[in-house]
Amino acid sequence: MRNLILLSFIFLSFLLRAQSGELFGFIKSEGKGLAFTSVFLEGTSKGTFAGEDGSYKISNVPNGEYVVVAQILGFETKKQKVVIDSKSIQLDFDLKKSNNQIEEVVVSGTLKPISKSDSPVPVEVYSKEFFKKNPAPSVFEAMSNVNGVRPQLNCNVCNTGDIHINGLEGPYTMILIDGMPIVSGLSTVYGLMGIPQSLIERVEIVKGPASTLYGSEAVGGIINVITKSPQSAPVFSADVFGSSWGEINTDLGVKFKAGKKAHSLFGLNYFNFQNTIDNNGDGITDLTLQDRISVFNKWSFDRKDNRVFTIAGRYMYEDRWGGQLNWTPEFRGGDSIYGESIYTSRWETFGVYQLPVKEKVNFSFSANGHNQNSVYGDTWYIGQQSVLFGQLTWFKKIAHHDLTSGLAYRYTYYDDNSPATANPDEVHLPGVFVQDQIKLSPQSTLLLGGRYDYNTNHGNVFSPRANYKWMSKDKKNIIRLTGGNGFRVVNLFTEEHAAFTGTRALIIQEELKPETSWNGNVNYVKKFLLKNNAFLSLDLSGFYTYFFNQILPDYDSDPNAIIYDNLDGYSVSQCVSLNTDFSMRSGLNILAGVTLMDVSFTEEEVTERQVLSERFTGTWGVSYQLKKKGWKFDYTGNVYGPMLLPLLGEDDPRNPKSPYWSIQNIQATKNFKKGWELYAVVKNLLNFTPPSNSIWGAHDPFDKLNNSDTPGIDLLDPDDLGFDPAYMFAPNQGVRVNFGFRYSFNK
Amino acid sequence: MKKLGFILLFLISLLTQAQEVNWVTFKELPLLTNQEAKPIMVFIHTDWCKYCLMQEQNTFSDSAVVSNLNEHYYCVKLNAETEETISFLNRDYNFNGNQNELSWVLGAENNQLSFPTTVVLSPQFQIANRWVGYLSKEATFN
Repeated sequence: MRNLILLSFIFLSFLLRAQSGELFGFIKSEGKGLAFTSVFLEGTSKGTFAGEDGSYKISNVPNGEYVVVAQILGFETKKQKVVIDSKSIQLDFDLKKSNNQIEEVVVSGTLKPISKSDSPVPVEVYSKEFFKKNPAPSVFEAMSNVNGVRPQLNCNVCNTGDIHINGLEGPYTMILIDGMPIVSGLSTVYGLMGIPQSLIERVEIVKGPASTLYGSEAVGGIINVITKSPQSAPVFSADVFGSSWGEINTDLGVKFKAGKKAHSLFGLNYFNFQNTIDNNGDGITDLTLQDRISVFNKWSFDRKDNRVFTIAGRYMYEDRWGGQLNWTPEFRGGDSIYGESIYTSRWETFGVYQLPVKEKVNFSFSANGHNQNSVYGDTWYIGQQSVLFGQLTWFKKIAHHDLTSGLAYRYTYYDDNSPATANPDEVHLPGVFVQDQIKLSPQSTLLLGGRYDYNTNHGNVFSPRANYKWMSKDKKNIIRLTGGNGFRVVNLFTEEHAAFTGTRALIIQEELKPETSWNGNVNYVKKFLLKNNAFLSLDLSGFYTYFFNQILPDYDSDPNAIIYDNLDGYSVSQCVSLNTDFSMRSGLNILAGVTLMDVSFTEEEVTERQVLSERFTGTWGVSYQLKKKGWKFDYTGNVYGPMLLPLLGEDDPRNPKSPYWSIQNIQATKNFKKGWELYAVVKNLLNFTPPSNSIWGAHDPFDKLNNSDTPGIDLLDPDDLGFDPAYMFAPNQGVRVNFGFRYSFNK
Repeated sequence: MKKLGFILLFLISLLTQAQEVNWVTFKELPLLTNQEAKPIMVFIHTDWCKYCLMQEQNTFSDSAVVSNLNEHYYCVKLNAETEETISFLNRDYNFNGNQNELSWVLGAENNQLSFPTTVVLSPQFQIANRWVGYLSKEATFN
């Protein structure tokens, strides 16, 4: 029996051999043979690999109809039909390079919430996942989760603010969108709330002087918001949350392809809060009412040789007001019911175009217009600002040198209704920069850079930079050293909100000179791989900035005024910060950071601490993920040490120092199938709010009850200290619960 | 004589234990596979990814893993964020602004690239297996 089967097999194979043909041909792409291409007949075990020249041959193919598949890594698979009829048939394949785009880059385990890039400049990279630990409607609020970075509300009534880095005031922080300086001047005070968190792909933060690419204004540091790219965004996404206070935040994103080569991402953010809540009973709204829309559209185009071309535009409109509870728009600008009402309208456009030349040369450009129509009680501030920016950057690698050089030009137009700006202020700022990143050894890199700018109002500005990085062979130790200078021209009206609110007068005693400073910092990163697949990284930094001139507000000399003048001495800002990152593969991740700082100024050999700068801050985020069940829990928070606060003279009964205060949040997120996610977060768990007398004279914002002729503080009458909302260190918003959902759809 | 052989063997085993993974480059691969056909293990990583570091330092330094890899595979490291052009299998792979194209050609799964990703190619450079995420030393590269 067995023999019979064997026999029939032999017979069959003879039969097949008799009725078979062969297949041969060439596999090529763009005229070149593709060695190693796998060629096979679908549904059979017949196949082979192409030889060195791309040729292949499959013999003994039984007669019949087949689908022939040619497949190789990096090229699109191609199929062809063929009929074999006892002959030798040539079948060639011409394969196209595959051009599949990645939809998303994710990181194994929990996250890449913070990482430091390879660069010798200490860049901290925060991913969008990091900000999901404590979702906030705007980039401004989101920054409270970052160690050493503090969003500071400058105004108790209208809740506008700026972002402090390492204790340095907001104007020292440069905020970039996709590397463009489009958030400057007016928008640092009024535009920050309008950048929705949903735009964030990642945020890169450099503390201390940044690279020569960004000029010398950013003494405190830069915050570079990298927006989502049309290629990597989901086809459709939504993120909507509402809070128990009545805030509603909606983010929608849609991606589409226009033609074969254009990708577009459209994003809409709408934020609304319309409740007059006064939990502290001072008669003034606790949280400013806001109605805000931001529309974003980014395009990217596929070009030959992977050249870059992206262009984006954004429009933002916001109507916000805070003040006495019975204020309505008809009281705007009047002196019967107090309200601070701000209309902001702003547009931005920015993009990068890589020139179609052999060398890598990028042209980046941005333009923006900002219109401010605001009124604080009966004081108007109407301002316009336009910024035009263009930069040509050439990247060149020569042996161990990585050169970046370029030309930049920035034009700023500014006008407002204040007497200080009789004529519109126009500044042209052409600049040139060179930077060389030198690989000294496999472990050490030196970055040297220099930049020269010509400011039409202040002349020559030269800013040198030096960075050094050393990494141990096992990648577990990294040291970075940075040095550079700072130069900044102060514009009080765009930077100092205090100039308009309250009854204090603004006094500028002399012509304000540009601020100049030197800065150095040291950074040490140590990574530990622990037992049980746990990971710990410690990131320790020391910063030192010495200002030869700094324009500081003086609240103390005259309680009725804020006095600005040049520093007759020097000021120093120094700090030490530690970031720790502990992760376990089981799903636990702890991020914690501490910053100790000392910000002081010395005039006539007397050293004083600067107001509104804390000596201690801490932030943390503890996350635990139950991957299989789709649950994630986050406990985030921050704690701030006491700050000196601006008082209204000796009679002011308020505490000259803020207490230690902390905002803590806890969140639960549940992942469902098909792209759904639900989350609930209790914000400000401890229900911390500043004292209810933070706004002095809240009952008399127009200072009408003043029984003397002097406006503001009457030194003879201890009860009359005027109206002053400048005593401000923490948001007035107490505990609340946010509920939200996320949905994303990927084809 | 027998004793001496044992000692030699012992010494050799010591030497091999102290060995590291013998990393080769994409450029060398065609030549190497020509000499001896072996599958290829590609480790796709980035500089900042901590699980990549963990895999490098825990898994790729384990003596059993090292000897298995060195004996049965050609091993290549691919830094997904390298800006250098990599020539491999008839094609030049460039940096696309975020990653090198080769990292997604080899590593992308469902249009998604994760770090680390470990890929095994057949001696004929066909993708044989892919692991997304950290591989502990208990994992086998088959």
